[in-house]
Amino acid sequence: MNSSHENELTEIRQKVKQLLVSNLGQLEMLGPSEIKDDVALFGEGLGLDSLDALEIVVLLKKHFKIEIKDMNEGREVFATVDSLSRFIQMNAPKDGN
Amino acid sequence: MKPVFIEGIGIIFTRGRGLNKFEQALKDGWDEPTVSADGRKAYRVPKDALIDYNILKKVRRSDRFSRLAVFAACDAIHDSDLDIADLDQSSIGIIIATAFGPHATIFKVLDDIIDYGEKKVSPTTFANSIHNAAASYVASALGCTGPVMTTTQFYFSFQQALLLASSWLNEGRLKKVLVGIVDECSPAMEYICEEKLSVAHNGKMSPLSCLKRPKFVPGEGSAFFLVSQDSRKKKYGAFTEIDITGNSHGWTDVDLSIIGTNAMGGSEEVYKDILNKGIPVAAYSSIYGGFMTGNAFECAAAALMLKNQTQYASPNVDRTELWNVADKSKERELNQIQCISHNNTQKLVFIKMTK
Repeated sequence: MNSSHENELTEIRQKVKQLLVSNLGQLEMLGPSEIKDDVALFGEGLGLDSLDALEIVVLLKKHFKIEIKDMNEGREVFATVDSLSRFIQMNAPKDGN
Repeated sequence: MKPVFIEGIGIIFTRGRGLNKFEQALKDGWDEPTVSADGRKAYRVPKDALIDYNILKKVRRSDRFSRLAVFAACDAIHDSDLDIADLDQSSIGIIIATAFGPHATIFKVLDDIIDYGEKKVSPTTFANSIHNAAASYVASALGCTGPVMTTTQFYFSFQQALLLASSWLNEGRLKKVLVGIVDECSPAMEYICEEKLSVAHNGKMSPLSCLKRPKFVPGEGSAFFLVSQDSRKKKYGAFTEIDITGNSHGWTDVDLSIIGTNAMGGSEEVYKDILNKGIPVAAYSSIYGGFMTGNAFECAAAALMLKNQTQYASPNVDRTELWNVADKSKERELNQIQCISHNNTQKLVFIKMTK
């Protein structure tokens, strides 16, 4: 993996964390830097629930122009900040954001 | 009307959260409003007044409007020393009065529809844009399962809420009602006030000017009263009369009249009975700002004065040649106080409170 690809992924991770903290009440007590890349977003990790999943779907549409059509796919994608960021990197239109 | 006794009060306003802060503000008098980045003046609730993670974790999806209500409502319960767990939770009703509802959130939903399309609107933001959302969050945070209602009648929403609370208690349907108001400032609201109303650019309101459009500064906040018809639980006196007919000039057997400011004014003619009798008057809206449901703040001030048997100086002393202005803080026998609000057609409504 080249460094520009890795830099882009780092930027996406930062943006994802900022969006999660700004838009999901569950996380407003945290700063973006307190969310680890590999911590589980749902359940025992950060404690997000199904309505938060819906919010993330809307955030992906609004900020990255990515549509999640299959929620089974979403289950894996939404596992961690890292998995979500990698999915965005692979699927966001090049003129996205 | 059967007396409705006040067991607890919760309040959040421009100088912070809590009845102690409100009482201190009444003692301290006028202060400068806050100034936004675009130079607009308003009495806004500071951000740090809305940080309490013990409450926020119960209402994590709420917006600012609902949080204002939840904080004040929880504080009213706390102030009463009531442990809700000791009560039948269906025996407490909740009524919230608001003039404009969560309009900042409503505008956010509309803006998002315009900017991104309806499929990209947050479902949580949409849910928060419903007028009754704040009342639902209050019920959820407190674990109350009784009736929940939001009343809105522009100028006189709080008076309607109080009448409804009295009615619920009279019916014996409930033991207690948590009744209060919430309204908020937003850039849109402040813009409308600037364009349509008479905003005081020096920050000083003139509620006693008897002008149709008195100078005012927009305000926001929330105030809640836990009320019942059980006189043994009384902590701050009682609501004893409410007159919303618009045909009255007020009661003349009161010790003090508190004039509200919602940007509308009453003329000397509508206040003739108060003026002729020389009844002391005060106006405290310079402390928390002017807004349609601000009459609840006047009632909170009256409740404190009846409890403490102390008159707090009116921070506005304009038109002293006309009014018998209560311009000094002093210990004084106070048995009855009336709180007055008015609309744009010179109609006055009254809430009488008794020791």
